[in-house]
Amino acid sequence: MGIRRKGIVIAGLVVATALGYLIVTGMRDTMVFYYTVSEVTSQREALSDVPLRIAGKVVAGTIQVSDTNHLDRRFVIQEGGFQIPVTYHGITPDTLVDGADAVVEGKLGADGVFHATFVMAKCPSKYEAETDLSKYREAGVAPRTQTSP
Amino acid sequence: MIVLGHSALIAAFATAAYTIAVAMLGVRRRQPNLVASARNGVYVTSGLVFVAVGSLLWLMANDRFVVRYVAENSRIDQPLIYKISALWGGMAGSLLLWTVILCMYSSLAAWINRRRHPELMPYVYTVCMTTALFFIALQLFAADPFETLPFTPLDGRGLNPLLQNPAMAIHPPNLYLGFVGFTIPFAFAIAALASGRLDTSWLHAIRRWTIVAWFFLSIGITLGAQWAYVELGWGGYWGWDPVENASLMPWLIATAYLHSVMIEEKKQMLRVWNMLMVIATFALCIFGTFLTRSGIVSSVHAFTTSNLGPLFAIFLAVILAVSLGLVAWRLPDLRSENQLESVLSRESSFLFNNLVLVVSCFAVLWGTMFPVISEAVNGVKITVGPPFFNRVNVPIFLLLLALTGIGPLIAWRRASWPSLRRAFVWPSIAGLGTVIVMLVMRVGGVYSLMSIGLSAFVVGTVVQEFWRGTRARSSANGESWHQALLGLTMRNKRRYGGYIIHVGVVLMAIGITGSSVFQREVEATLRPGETVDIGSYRLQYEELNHFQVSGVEVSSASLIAFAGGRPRFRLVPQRHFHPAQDNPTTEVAIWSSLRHDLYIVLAGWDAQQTATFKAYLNPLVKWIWIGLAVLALGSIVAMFPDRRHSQVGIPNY
Repeated sequence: MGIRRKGIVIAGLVVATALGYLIVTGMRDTMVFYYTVSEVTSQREALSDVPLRIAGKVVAGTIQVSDTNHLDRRFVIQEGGFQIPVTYHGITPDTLVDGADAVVEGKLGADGVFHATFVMAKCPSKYEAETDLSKYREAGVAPRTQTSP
Repeated sequence: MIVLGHSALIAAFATAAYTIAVAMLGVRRRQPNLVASARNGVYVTSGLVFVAVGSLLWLMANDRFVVRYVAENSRIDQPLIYKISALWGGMAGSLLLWTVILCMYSSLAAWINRRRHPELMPYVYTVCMTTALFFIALQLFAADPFETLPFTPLDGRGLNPLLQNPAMAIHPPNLYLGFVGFTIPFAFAIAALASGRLDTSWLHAIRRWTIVAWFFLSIGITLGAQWAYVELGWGGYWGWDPVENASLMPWLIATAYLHSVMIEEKKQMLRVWNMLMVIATFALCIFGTFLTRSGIVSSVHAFTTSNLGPLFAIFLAVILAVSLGLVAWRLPDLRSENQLESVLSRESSFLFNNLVLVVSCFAVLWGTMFPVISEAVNGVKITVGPPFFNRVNVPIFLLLLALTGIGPLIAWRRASWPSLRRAFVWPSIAGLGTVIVMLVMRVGGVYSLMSIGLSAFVVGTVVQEFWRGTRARSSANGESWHQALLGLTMRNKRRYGGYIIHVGVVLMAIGITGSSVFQREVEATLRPGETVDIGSYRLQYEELNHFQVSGVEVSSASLIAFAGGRPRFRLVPQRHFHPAQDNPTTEVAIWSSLRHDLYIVLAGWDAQQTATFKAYLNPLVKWIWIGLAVLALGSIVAMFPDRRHSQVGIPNY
């Protein structure tokens, strides 16, 4: 290996190390634990004031929007028989409706309320898995007259 | 039509299988007529898949809700354009779209190369049709687009209103044209490995394909960002969501390949590396398709959990095992013929570009998959979000930006100091000058100074290249400057097309820097007549109206934007409620100029007409979309056939 080639290898290693360092420290400083509601409930003390991401379902009828500014919002998420109240300041995604799968990120306060800084939601019927088409049946069933051509 | 479409899919499955068998038999027995039959097999399979797509479109356009897919994704009063775009609004249809694009590409590749590359083509047919077979099998056995319901609903559920947006109507086809397009380079790579024809002929065969796929992928990704910007209402366009990452990863690796392949063409170096890049790009495309359909990572816009995950995982494992096995087998034949000579050379600058792009892709992959990895390793799910991706990728992209300027100008083999001075004095002055101006005006932090400064540097290199080339040509041939400029570009399309692409990338970098570093936001709850300030604008809330438009309940607020004391324009943010859907949709109001976008969301209101707004001032966002147009223009220049070189295939870069 010539001296020039060595230079390239060293330069490459320096860049790769710097980037590797970036990834490792970036990971350490930004990681967030991801739990479900029941997992959080069972270890509430240990998890309070730690950045968390929690997954659960929005309990029907719990979504409240502040009358004074329309931006302070609260709702309750549940999973495995446990519930956690969530507060959030900002606009929640359109998909945050009763029964939606929600993922919230933030911190659990000492009062047991989760203060979210980020809310993500997937509407239960957004895509087709487990679609319930029966409401169209209730709306009126057309007799099966149509034959496929 | 249901029967026709379904039978066409079954028949396509059979002909794809036939094609694979005949192609392999043709190779083994060395019978060209069998290979010719395989080529016809590709055409017939494509025709059948087209029939299937046509049937589904017909069913959609004619509201045949007995078909589950139609009932779930279409509605009687849905505009025709969205009845058509519903083809890719759901799982089964999107798989069908994947298949039809693959078939289109395969047929085109078969036809273009019908008299070329006789050793490679049977393998190309095999790889393409194996992929098609997999996707058709998914539809026949797991996600059937022609599945019927036991009853006929009177109306369908309709396409998700979030997807009823012009950008969303064309974003997925572009993304798929990109994703699927990388199948052809992959097929040629496998063909080269399997047949042992490892000279540069396969590289020349896929050169244009790679640029075409990259072009569509770039458009697809950016349109996806634009859709998120217009439709999701959080003021941004890129959230490092797993689905977005899934499209970015193959783009990063394909970009790396587009650069490193020039070194192989010119110096027969990096041959194993390039092979791996082509394989990795395709594998990441399949991985991306898998990621969006398996539900293994939570995402805002993934298709819901389905039973397709394991099938994709198996297919991906087979792809990786076969292709890496072939590379290992051919390793002795893939030795480089030259060695790197200096750190200061174009070869090494391209090498660094590759290193940086691959690391970036790895970081994105690592961050995206970390919840899965950490859960597998120590049982705890740990996620990383935008802070991680930004922190890692911002320095990486700054480095890339610098290399974008340096790479094309630095000499091959070994750069001398005088040549470096000649190449970089003016661009460096442009870059430093920009930084000084920004410092004097006191705008920006370290990253934005570097980003804008480097952007000026790159633009400087490109302008200088065009300037010098044009001047030399016009003084040598006596042409006018615009003739010379055109002649210069057309004579070496890949080089000058590449420069134009670089300018597009720089414009996008400027737009991304401006909108992420200098974004401002304000929230306000206003009564009619009250105002709120953002940047140099004063927004006055006028009134709130409720009305119905073609079955959609609309709540619409109206605001006037004042600048310098005078009314300038009106903004009308809305909320829509589609009765057939469960959730309302936010329709943001955006006023866009070259300087900045004013972006307003209607957050809520009460009976007294008091309404709450969230407003963002996003500087320079428009330059991202302009950058895309420039990038697309450059790609078109680069993919234009070279009249003199098209047959010989000698790279003139």
